[in-house]
Amino acid sequence: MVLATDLVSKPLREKGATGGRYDFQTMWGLALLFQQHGTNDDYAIVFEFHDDIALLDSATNPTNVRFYQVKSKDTNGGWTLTALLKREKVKTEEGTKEKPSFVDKMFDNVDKFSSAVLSADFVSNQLCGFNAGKTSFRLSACEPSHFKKIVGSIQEAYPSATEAQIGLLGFQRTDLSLGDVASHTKGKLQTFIAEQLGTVWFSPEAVYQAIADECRRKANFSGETTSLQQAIKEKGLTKANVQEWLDAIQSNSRSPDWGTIAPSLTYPFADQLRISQEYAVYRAAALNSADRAVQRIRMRIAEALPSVIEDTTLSLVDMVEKLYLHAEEVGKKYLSPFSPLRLKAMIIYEIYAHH
Amino acid sequence: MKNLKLRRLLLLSRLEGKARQEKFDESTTVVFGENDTGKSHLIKSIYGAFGADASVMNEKWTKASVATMLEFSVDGAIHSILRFDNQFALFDAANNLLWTGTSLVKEVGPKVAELLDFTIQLTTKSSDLVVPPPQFCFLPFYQDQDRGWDDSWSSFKSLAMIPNFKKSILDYHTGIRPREYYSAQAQRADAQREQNELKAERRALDRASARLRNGRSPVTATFSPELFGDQIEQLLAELNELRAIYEGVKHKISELQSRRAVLVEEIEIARTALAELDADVKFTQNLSEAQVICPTCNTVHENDFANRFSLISDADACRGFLARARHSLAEVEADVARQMQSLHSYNDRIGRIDALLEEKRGEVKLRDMLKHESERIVDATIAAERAVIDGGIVEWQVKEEEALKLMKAHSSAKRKAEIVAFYTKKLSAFAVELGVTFGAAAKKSVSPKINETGSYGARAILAYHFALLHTIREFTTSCLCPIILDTPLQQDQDDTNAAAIIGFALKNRPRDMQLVLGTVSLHGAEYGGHFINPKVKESLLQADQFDTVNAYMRPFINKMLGQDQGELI
Repeated sequence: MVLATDLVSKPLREKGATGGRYDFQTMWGLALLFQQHGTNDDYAIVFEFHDDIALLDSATNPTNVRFYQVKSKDTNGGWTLTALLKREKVKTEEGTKEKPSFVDKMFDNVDKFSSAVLSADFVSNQLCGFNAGKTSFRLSACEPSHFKKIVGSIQEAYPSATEAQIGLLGFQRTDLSLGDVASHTKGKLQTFIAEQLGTVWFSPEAVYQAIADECRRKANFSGETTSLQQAIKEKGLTKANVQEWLDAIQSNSRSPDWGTIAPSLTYPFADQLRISQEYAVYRAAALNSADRAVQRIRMRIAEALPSVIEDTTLSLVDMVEKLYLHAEEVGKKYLSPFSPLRLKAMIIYEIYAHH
Repeated sequence: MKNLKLRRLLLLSRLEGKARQEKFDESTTVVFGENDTGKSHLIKSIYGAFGADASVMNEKWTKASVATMLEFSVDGAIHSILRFDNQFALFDAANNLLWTGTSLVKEVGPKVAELLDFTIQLTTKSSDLVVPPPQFCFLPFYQDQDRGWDDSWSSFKSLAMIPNFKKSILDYHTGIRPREYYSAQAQRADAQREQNELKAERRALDRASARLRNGRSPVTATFSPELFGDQIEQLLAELNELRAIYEGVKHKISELQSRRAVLVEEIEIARTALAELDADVKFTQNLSEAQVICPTCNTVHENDFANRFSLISDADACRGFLARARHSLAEVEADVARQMQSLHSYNDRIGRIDALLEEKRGEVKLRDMLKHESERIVDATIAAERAVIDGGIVEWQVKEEEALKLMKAHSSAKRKAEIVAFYTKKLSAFAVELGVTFGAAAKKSVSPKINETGSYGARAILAYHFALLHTIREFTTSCLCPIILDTPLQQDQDDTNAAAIIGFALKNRPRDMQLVLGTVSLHGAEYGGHFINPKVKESLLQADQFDTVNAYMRPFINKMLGQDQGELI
């Protein structure tokens, strides 16, 4: 309970500058989510919440938190210790002021939320120059002289900081490439979905667009949040959200290709050829919800669909013919030009879409 | 003779949430009320239900988008006609839909005419022969408040579509010329039009054959195919092969073209669907609310991930269809081009045919001989065709003459004299009753010019009008319709005249005919019958009647709009 209230009652740090790199943070958050989803029972990844990203161990009643400061860099060469500890000077009306360094900012959350913090990591696409051999480590694990420097710097700003607390700070290099975040994320996303759902047909492009949009929606949320639940709802991704995505993907069935349908049909060849052409036309038409005429006919077909489909004695052709009689009148009224084979193609589509 | 009787009028404005219904008495109904109580809207709606709009319509009324339903009987058989904007529907006594229509001249007019035996056909401004729309059927029976009480015959809108309609329509309604006359007239017009069409065709044929003759060379060759026996045989062989080749290519191309047409349609449909879907995706992306309410149908759509994903996924599928169809189209078009190209490889065969045609026997080339023979065949075909047309013209001439005979047979001078005499007698009697006088000219014809100045004029029009209605009652071969008089007291009449006018109209209603009289008050005339009194100023339709009228009319409206299932309006 303490963490849950603290997260809301303690003020957020001023928002950092946002720009082109922003998407990198968002997509890294998504990658973090893939990692969590398999291993943790519950979690919430919240964007722009005390740090670039905060990972909570529960969406309802969190007891611990990990913070991530995600900074990409397009010039080669790793991060130097100096860069991480540098406090930029800015001129204000009251004289020159020092802005907190990256490390200061990371420690600030350790200081604020003390024992609830499991770690506070600096994440980048570049390596750490002063411990170049490792891609992921606690700052306390680097050379003692470096660590001493770090402790010294933090204690200038936070005199009560202990080495044990500073030991929670870490560095991670991510393999997410800055130049091609999208295709990299798309690949990860595909693997993730395949792991979760097994062999389900889905369009990688559509799934990526929908999920990336979803993450951006949350990362770009600019309103005020007054409770933790609201912060998680507006700015966070939870296990429940991911389940919602997976459900949507799984239930988004698509009418099959003609090749799958053709063997079940026994119409004369010429008719069948024509129906296949009409089917291709209709597949697109059915997606247009603004086409009232088509929607009227769909409604008419849908009325009789359940009873026909439940009758297990019927062949596909029997079903089509039965539904045809039911929908013919409405079809003649709204299809222009009307052709029986076009209506049959529509019926076949609806039968498969119903399954 | 049929008799139309009004039973009940229902008016419904879903836009304003108001409605009204009124019953009509079998004989007389007086609609009275101050100005601005909507008395005229009610009166104008009666024939308006059939599509006969009064010439002046109030803008506010039009904006309220009122659905009108009129229950009536024709010779006792009950019907209802429903009008919503420009859609009309007729129902029988068991509320079965008999027909619907939107075009007044092409659909509604002929159906109403059939129902009322209004069997006259007249020629429009653009020389089409039509059944005049309902305003012509009701013309002698309706006097509009704004345009009725003068001599202009303009109570209804859109009368100008038939030039000089007054005489024909009045001769028809009064039975001077019975409906048989007009159907014969229509037959004659038909026969004339058919003849004109055939003559035009003959002229075109003559022009074409003259042009063909002009282009011919004077050389003539006798058709003696034995001279070219070998060449003709070779020619036929070459032609047969070539024809098979051309047929094959033609068949392939036509298959490809039909495939192409389907693809073009597929692309168009996918493109439209994609545009809609992309717009939807963009809309939901920029939307922060969790629910979207459709502005047209008020359905609540969830703006959740599943919904957004389904839109994006549909758009993606659509993009896939579009790309595949475009690719297939390019392939089909390339195939068509390849087939066309293949025809060039047969040029050598065409060369061989040319050479055969150029071969000579004596002075005669095979080409010339064949050309001459084909010309002879063409001439013979044209002559045969011309003979068929000539025969057709004669047939129609006979029909025209027959029709003319019928017309003469049905315009009997004796019957006309009898009708005009009856009318004159009535006119004189009514003139005395209303204190007006008519010149000799007004008594010679049922469609005279009436002097209509001042308060005198309104009474003169009323006297004439009733004389005409009585004449129609006595002699018509068509239909009796309810007499609808909207506010006869147009010019300032003194109290004596006002009472006389109202009293006159109530007293002299022709027997069996229904009367609906609109007036500001009864001016002291005695009346104890049925009346309608819209009391509330500026509002004929009332909110408290909405539920009842709406519940009654909605099933009819849904039937008219073809929406037996699901609610449209």
